[in-house]
Amino acid sequence: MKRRRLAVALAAGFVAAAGACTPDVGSSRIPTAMQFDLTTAPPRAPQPTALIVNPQTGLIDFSLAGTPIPADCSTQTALTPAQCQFDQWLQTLDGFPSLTTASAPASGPLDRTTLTLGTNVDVFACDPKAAGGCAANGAPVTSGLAVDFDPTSNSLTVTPPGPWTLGELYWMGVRGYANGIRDTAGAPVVGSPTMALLREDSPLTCGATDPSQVKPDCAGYQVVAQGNPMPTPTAAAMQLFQLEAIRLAYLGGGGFDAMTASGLPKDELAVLWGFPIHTNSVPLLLPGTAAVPVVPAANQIVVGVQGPVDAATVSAFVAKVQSGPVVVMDLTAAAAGDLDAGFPPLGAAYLPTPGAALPGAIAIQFAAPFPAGHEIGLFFTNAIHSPDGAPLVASPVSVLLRLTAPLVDSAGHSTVSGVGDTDAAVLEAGRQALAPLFDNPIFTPLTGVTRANLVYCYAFVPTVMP
Amino acid sequence: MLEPRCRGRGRPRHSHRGWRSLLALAAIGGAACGSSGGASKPDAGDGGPPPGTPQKLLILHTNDIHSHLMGFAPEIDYTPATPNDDATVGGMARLAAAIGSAKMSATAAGTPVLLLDAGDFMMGTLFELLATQASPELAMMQALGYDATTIGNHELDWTPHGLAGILQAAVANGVTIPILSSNMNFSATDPADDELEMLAQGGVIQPKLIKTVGGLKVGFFGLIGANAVQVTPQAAPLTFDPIAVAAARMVKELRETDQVDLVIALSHSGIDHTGQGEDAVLAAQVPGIDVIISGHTHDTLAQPAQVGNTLIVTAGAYTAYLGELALTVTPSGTPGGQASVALDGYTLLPIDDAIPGDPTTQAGVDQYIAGLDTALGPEGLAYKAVVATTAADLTLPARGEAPVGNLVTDAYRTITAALQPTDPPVIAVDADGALRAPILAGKTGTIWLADLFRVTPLGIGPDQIPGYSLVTFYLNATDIRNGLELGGAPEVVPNDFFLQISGLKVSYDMTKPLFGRVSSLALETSTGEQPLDLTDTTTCYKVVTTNYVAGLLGAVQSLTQNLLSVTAKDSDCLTPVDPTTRFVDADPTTPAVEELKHWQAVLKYVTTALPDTNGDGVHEIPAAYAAPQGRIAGIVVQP
Repeated sequence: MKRRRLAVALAAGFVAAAGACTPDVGSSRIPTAMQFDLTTAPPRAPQPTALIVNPQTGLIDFSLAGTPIPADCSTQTALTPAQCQFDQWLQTLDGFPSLTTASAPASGPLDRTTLTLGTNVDVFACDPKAAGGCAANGAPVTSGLAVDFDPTSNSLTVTPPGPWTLGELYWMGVRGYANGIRDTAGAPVVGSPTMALLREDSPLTCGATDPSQVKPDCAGYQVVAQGNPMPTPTAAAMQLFQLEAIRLAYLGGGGFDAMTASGLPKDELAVLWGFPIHTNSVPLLLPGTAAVPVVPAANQIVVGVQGPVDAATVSAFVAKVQSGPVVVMDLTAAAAGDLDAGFPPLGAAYLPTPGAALPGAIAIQFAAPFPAGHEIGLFFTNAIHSPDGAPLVASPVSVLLRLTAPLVDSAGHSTVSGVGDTDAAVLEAGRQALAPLFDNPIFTPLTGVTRANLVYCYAFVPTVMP
Repeated sequence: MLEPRCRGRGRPRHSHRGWRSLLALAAIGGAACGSSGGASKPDAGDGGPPPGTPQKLLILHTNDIHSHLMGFAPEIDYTPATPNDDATVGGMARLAAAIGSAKMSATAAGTPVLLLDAGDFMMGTLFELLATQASPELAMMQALGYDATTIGNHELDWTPHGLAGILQAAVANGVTIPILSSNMNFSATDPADDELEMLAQGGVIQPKLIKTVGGLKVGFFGLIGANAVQVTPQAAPLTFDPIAVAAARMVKELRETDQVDLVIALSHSGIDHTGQGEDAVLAAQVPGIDVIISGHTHDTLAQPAQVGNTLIVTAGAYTAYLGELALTVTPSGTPGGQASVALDGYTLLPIDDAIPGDPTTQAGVDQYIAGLDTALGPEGLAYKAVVATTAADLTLPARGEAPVGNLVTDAYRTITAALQPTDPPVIAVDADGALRAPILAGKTGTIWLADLFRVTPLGIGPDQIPGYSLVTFYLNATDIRNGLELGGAPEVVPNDFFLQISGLKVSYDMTKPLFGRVSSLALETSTGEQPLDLTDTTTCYKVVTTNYVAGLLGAVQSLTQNLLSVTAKDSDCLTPVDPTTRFVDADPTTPAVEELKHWQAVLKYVTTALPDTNGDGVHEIPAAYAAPQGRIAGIVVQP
């Protein structure tokens, strides 16, 4: 059986939007530097970053970066409507999506051959909630990750073969200077002035308790005050305090210790950043990779789920008979106004050990083979829980498909950062195909599927099995 | 040009004995045309301030009058001449007084006034029996000084042919109120709407109206919305443009061609008390409408809903309210440009016994009552004939077992069973949308014929006599369940489709999925309850209902997008039939079929089948009807 995707092919992974914002403090143009410039729009800084996870709520919070997301996206113009809605969703998570590509921008092209995992690019994974600190309970990740350079964004990228581990905190460091990575001219790559300040062992604020008390002769202040463009004294003092907060966060989060444990000493760090992955289980969906449904038989389809699932919360929706968070529709029949044929009889169950490469899966069994040539839609809601009662969260692709705002603008450009124009165009077609369902006055009352609770959607057209 | 009405479209299969006499009423035409309770016409014509100058404007509005010339209920309590002594609401005499008062105040302040209505001025009381002779509703509205109205679904209940007759009668009685309809299309091939089309060609129905009020050039147009059309299959062969399409066309024409300052839509499409509804969507989709006078939902808005630059108002139903919208309009200064409209104030004035009724208007209403009595006399009836007494109210709650619904469906089943004793119907149903009024005990418990008629006042049969006609057909248990599922689907199905039942018990489990909530069905037989297998399609049960409800069986399929369906069958439980033509013969002793109207069945049930315990000749509505009897259980509607 062949499958065709409605919302297909995100060739690249998703990048969580917008990093933290602190000023660039005079990054030099020569030599090539790993950038940590938070004053540009968009920021030239590593991402994703734990700096925008609110310690009080435990959730991503863009207001920490100075760009709060309003509850009503129509009230703002700073972001595209789609970006705003996507960021609203990110703010519901306690970490970043597991299908996220990590990246760190550079001021110039890097020599790919020097981007070696475990030596020049170190990744350390740990449980941020475990006692003893990150370095004590984690381990370096020395294989499996793809480290590369993206010339389009001039960024070093780190991509896992599958999803990042749920609930893990990842620290990433890039070795620079004499022993580290090189640019394409063969020259060493250095860290930014910001990174130099973050590596400091003592407070940057020279004992001041608030920005108004920072003395002009404070070394850190002098570095910040020389930024380009040059900030006002007040702004420079504010930026200094912001950097000090980041420095403390790096120390408290065990970032430097983790790198030391990985064999990357602090003074060789060209850039360091860390990010947590959300803890909720998530249906896997990353078109273009293995994270798509598999079809083991003409009347079966299996969707991988990362993280544990309470099997008791998995059941199929059967029209007029049974509510359930697993909804399967014959979209072709439904589009013709025949909902009776639009909901074929089926069952659904959770398979904790489905085999193959799937960590766990939701298996859907139809009473009859898929109708050939009809488009079949799969929808899961967040009524599926993990054993601890936490609801499944959506994959970024599913979120983009459920947005009400367009994913491409009138010029054909993506309206969501981290989503390329080509991917956005494909997703936009899927989003538009999905919209009539949500506009259908019966669909939501009948199935219980809403834009807000949809955590997975996928469509395919089966052909006749050989 | 207007044609004489009733030009040989008779249906010879039907006998019109008895009630046909209603169509040959004594000379009552124009009875109300001389009344003057509405005070003078609004200021009109030129002479206002120069263009660009802010201008005050008062818009008075009603909607869904539904032939309610008298206050209610019960009508015996209605005493418009003496205020503050009864609990009734509405009534043309009070409405006329309120309009006159508002106009007088506005005129004294130099503010021009418009008086507008948003349709469904007909169908709802006994006065509709006079429609094709005297058109009392429009005649009264003329007397009150209305500037324009539009056509609602209940005008179309009469069918295009019937409505044409009514409008012809109105014209003959001197009615000149512009009747606006901007999204109605006539059939090019079906002659059934030809008479109405000729009235449109003659200007009785107009797509737009332009009126200069004070210094403002105001453009009006009329609409009927999607839901109103959906519930009016009798409107065929007329078709209707989507209101947004028609409105966009009219706004463009009024702004660009006619260069009006202000655009007002009379829209029988609806908005509810939360500001949601077709007219709210219309305002969002079609900028350029300054004011929408909305009707159809019977809901009220305490203050105008504002969508974009459009103000939307609606005023309940049955003359129970008069809306008073005070505006300051500043023309753009550019011909056809959109004016700046500022809301100065809004009052939704209750029309109740605090308002002394206008005696001249009431005199006009009384003349129509006299005319009705003349017509009803041969049947032994009169408008104020006491047909029953009740010690308690028979209420009509939304989406739930309704005491008045129990009475009505019992009447259908009982009276039809008497007429068809060899194969009596075992189930009777009617839809909430067709049940229009509770029966209220009031001060005395006395129920007039007029009160009873208001319970089931709608529709018209092929015999062109007002009232839906009863029909019978057969359904299996699955059909019955499917029809009742609409009642358990408040999320998606309007309350109007909730079914009241007789001879049947139904239980709902609202925790179940949509359209799967009927958990049990049981027939009520003389020997007790007989549970039905919800999946049984082999056994059928005879059902009696109105031809209107029967005509909406297809709506089960359309409302559920084919998830459910109901197919009317013949007694073999197999052969599909058209249920809308299987009329109950009110007089089986004659060869022709005499349609039994639903209100006739209710009247006959109340006056013959209910007890007369004190022997005074007036039957009493038993106490058992005062509350739900457990026929419908489990309905829960989330707020």
